[in-house]
Parts: sequence; structure tokens; C-alpha cells
Amino acid sequence: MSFKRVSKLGCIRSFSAFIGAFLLALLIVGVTVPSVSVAAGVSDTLEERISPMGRVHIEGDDSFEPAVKTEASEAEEVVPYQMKKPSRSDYPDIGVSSRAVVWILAQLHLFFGALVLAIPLFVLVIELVGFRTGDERYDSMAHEFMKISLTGFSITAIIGGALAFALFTLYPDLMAYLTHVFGAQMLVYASLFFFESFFLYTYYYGWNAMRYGNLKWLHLTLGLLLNAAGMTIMVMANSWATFMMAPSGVNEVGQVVGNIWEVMKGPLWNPINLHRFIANIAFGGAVVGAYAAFKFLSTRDPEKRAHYDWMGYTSNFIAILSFLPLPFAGYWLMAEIYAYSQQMGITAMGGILAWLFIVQAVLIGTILLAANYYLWAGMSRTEGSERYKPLIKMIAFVLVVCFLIWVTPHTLILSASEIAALGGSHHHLLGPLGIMPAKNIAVNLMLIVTFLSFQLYRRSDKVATVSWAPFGNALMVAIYVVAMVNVIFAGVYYGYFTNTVYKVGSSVMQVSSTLVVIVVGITLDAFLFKGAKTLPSYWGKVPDRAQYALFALPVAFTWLMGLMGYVRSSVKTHWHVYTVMKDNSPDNFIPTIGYAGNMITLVTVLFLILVLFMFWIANLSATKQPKPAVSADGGAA
Amino acid sequence: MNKASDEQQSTTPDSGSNTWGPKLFWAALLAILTFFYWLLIYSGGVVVQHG
Amino acid sequence: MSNEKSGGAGSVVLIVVAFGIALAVFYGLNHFIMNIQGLPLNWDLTPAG
Repeated sequence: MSFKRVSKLGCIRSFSAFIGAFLLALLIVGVTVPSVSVAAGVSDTLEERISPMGRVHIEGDDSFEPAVKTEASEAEEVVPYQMKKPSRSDYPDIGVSSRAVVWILAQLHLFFGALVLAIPLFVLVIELVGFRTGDERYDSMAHEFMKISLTGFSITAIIGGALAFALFTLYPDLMAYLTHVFGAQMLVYASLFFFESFFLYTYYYGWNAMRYGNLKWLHLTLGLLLNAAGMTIMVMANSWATFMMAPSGVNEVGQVVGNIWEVMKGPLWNPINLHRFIANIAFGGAVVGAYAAFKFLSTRDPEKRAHYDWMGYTSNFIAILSFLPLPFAGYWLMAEIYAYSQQMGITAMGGILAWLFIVQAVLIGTILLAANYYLWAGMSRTEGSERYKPLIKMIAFVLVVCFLIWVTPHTLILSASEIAALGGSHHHLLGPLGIMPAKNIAVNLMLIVTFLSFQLYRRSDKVATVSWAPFGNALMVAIYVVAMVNVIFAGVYYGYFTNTVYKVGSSVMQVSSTLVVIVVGITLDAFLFKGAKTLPSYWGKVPDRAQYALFALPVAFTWLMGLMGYVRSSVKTHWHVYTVMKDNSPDNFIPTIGYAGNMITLVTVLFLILVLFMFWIANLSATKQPKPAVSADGGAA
Repeated sequence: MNKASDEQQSTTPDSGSNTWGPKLFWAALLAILTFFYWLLIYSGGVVVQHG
Repeated sequence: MSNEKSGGAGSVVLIVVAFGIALAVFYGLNHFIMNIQGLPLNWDLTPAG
């Protein structure tokens, strides 16, 4: 049974505006955060040499000076706060690695937190689309997404509470310090849960009661406020993590010298806010896509298969469209880490943690291959896709080649004889593929061709009828070709044949080229296909194997999140609060990649089990046990 | 709750006082965007100094 | 990616014009993006100064 194809334009336009809004936010933030270069004096002491270069202070406040303990200050009436420097014996020993306990709880909390922040975001957008188009299917899909995520809020809170207990019990001095620094801000964070719960319950349980007219607008407002509460919760908690990585508003001995805004608004806060905001949406889309895939595979009813096929497509659409700008937000975060502390930046990508970014390449390659594969398989829903089949091979070729370039390492783990045989520590041909210019070329090309897969899919059930269609198509082809050549040119020329400053700057050129393709593609198609002839297409007419791509996506996303979370946390090496409070616990070392891999796999498996529980509970609430038949003699069967 | 067929989207200008819905929504959106601008972007004099 | 077959000379002109526009857009983008970062380029896109 085929459903009438609703124009996707409204959906595309809304989502495009959504993406455009936070890309605009990225631009605003990127321009307004000043990068004032300060001539750094040469210092001789060890503390100053490893100290971070960046500082945060109130503009115009020339009296900013680190407080130094002198006889005069000790004689003052008010004794300045002394941050306790924990020794090994100050850490409680519970018989198992405290770090492992906190790692599992923190990562699970982040997984579920991301999920329950993301789902209301795109649920609201889908509800808005349904409201604007009058198509009931969008509204019921939005409602269904909320239903399956409801238990997730409780799970997030339960794990968060356990995390808090673990942190305060196992790292009492660190937590005493953080509560001293952040003070009432933590109470504000806690109070936000009341608001979030209120808006969540009224939004979900009031769905049918506030279905039309003004009440529907009220419902949408509640959804808006739910998202606002959730986002505020996230950015407040982000400030604790970024403070630990790049402390601001405190001096070298941990005394608070600034106000709460200086403490919160460190150099990494907004990069992490943006990166997590976008990543949450991609992650949430992937998880609900797996739900849709499961429901699709477990039913033979054509109407249900059509419904869940459409749901899976929408989820994949959300996941991939928000995934496209994600590497750029991550790049901004890494750039700010480098600007804050070159030591920390090199630890992350040039030193001990560098190999993790090769693992990251494997995961992102998996995600892009799975997402593209799903789109190609989905093209069998319509006959109009036949004309694009030859292009799929080209896209697959580009994806695979770029993937191989991306996973090529720079520094190899070699024995002395291997180094002698190789003629050096790097391969003379493949070594250059291991540095950033090659990676930037690869990732930008992969994103461009992924967008091409999207665009071809969306075009496959339409035939343009406007008079300028041949020119429009020629222009689109030209934009793609020139953009890809530009990405390669910028990466090769500035990356290998000019100085470092131009090399780094050219990465922005590459990003912009990719963004031009996406923006032009969306805009051009919106105009090109006005009044287009629609070809028949059938939801549900998709091979089963495409649903397995939707299973692969959240697994890869989850593992990727766990991996990057590990990088973010361990980049401060043996510090609890970088350069301020040393980590003196028994776990103050970076574990082997194998150990980290096992931990990440463990939390991923735990997360997936809990997500299955979440879906099961959602289905359970709709299950009714039939009443037992009464037997002939009057007794119950 | 029954679907009231005559209670569709009342966003026509001549509905008078019956358009509180969209006004509430847009006012809330504006307030939220202002709040996040204040929280995230407005520096309040806080300056990040890069070495 | 159009289904229709355009006339030979006409389609060549279209493609040439389209590529011309695309090249101009990206050439200008390159200069703009590098300039706002304080990294000026020469006309041949080599680093200036």
C-alpha cells in the first residue's frame, strides 16, 4: 500500500532553518569570542612552563594578578581559601578502580542525557512540521518518539544520582573544591530538574488534550520550554567539565579570583556546548532509527511496515543532516584546546592520545558508509532513482578512498629493525596521508558526497518542470565539481607547500566549500522542484538489509561518543583540574588503548541493553493481557 | 477528548482575542533566544585571552 | 542530472557558464575566508607577503 507522498520541502525547509540557525550561532560565537594575542613572557619555572597560556578576566580590570602568599597576606584577618591538594591516602579505596566506577556511570549518564535532550528537540520540529502541513502522520510520529524516550529521563536521573554519589564518595577533595568554586550554580542546576520534569510531563501527557488551535500552540510552547530547560541543564554541567580541562576564574593555587561568569565562560565552554548540542541530535536520531528498524523488521503488516520505514528514514535524515556540521564543531573545540594550551593540544592529537583519532576515523567512516548505504537502498522505493544508480558507484568509491586516507596513521608503532627496514619512522609515501591536511581533504569530500547521496535520494521521485532546469542542474554539477577540486587544492597546496599558519587557515576554506555545497544544494532544489512532477514511490518497499544499517548507526555513534569522551577526559593527563589540582589517586595514569577500548565497549553494551529496556517499557504500556475466558462451570480458566 | 472539527488553527487576523496561542509561542521563543544569548554569547565583560 | 537531452551546443554553453559561475564563487570564497583570518592571498592564490 502506498502512502501519498507529502512534499518534503516543508520538512526540509524547517530543518534547514534549524541547521542554519545554529550554524549562524557558530558564526556569531566564532566572531564574538575575541582572540586577543598576548605576548607571552618567557618563564623559567616548571609551573609556568606547563601552565596554560590562556587566562580569563574581566575586561578593563588591570588589577588582575595571581594572589601570591606573602607574610603580609598571611597576616590578614580573612584567611584565603586553601585548596586542598589530595595525597594518595586521601582517596577512599573501595577495592575496585574508582576511575572505572566513575567512568561507567559518567559515560552512561552522558549517553542518556544526550538522548533525552535530543529527542525533544527533533520531536518539537516534527510536531511543528505536522502542524504546518496539517499531516497527522508527523504529529503521531512525534508523539511516538516522545513515548519511547520517556523512561530515558528516569534512567538519566538515576545514573546521574549514582554518578554524584560516586564522585562525592570517591573523590571528596576534588568535589569539595568544585562545589566551592561553583557554589550556588550547582543548586541552580539542580533546581532546573523541577522545571524540566514539569514541562516534560505536561508536554507528553497533555499531547491529546492540547491537540488543536490555541491549545496546540500552548503544547508547542511547553515543548519549547522543555528544550530550554534541558539545554540549560546541559550547558551548566558542561561548565564543570570544561573548568576541569581549562580552569578560568581561579589562580594557580586554586583560589577563586573571578566571579561565576569568569569561572563558567572559559575558552572551551561554548565549543563544547555547540559540539554536544549538535552531536546530541545526531545521536538521538540514530537511536530512534534503530527503534524504527526493529519495528519494521518485526511486522509483516504492509501499513505498519510503511509507517516504520518512513520513521526510519526520518530518523536517518535527522541523524545525518545534523552529523554533517559536527566535525566542524569538533574542530573548533580542538582549535580552542590548542589555543588554550599547546601542551594539551599536542597530547590530544600529536602525542599519547593521537592513535585514538585513527579509531575515531574508523567509526566515522562506518557511520558515513552505513548512512549512505541506507539512502542508496532506500532509492528502491521509487523507480525514478534508476537514473542515479551510476553515480552511487562513484560516491562509494570516493567514500572508500577517503576512508582509507583518514585511517592512515602518521606515527607507526615500530621496532628498531622495522624502522631500519622502512628507512625512517614514517612511511615515505603513506606518511604524508597521516597528517591533518590529508584528513581534512578526506572528511570534507566524504561529507560532500554524503550530501550528494541525500540530494539524489530526494530528487529520485521528482522530475523538474521549471524552464531553467537544465541550467540549474548544470550549476549544481559545477558547484559539486569545483567544491571538491577546491577542497583538494586547499588541502594539498596549503597543507604541504606553504607555512603552518596558511595550512591551518586553509581548513576553514575547505569547510566553507562544503557548506556552500550544502546550502546551494538545499536552496537550488527548493526552487528547481517547485511544481515538479512526482513519480510514484512506496514507503515500506525497501530491502530488509537496509534496516541493519540503521542498527549499525547507533552502535557506532555510541562507541564514538564513548571514545571521544575518554579523550576529552584524559587530555588533562594527571590533573583533576588542569595545572591547579593534581590527580594523586592510584589511577593517575592514562590507560592502554586496549583497556580504554574494553571500557568503552562495556559502557556501549550496557547502554544498548538499557535502551532495549526503554523500548520494551514503551511497548509494554500499550500491551493488554486478554481477560481469561470463564469456563462452563463458572470457574476462571 | 473529542476532536472538535470546527476548532482548527485559529490564526486568522480577524479572530481577535482567539490568537493567544501563537502569541504565547512566539513570545516564549523570543524569551528563550534572549535567555540563551545572555547565558552563552553575552560576555558581560568576560574576556578570553589566548596566549 | 536532468532527464532531458539538451541541444548539443546549447548544453555546452550552459555547462561552461555554470562552471564559470562556480569557479568565480569559490575563487571569491577562498580570498574572503583567508582574508578574514588575516591570511591574504595573491591573485594566483599563493600566500601574500
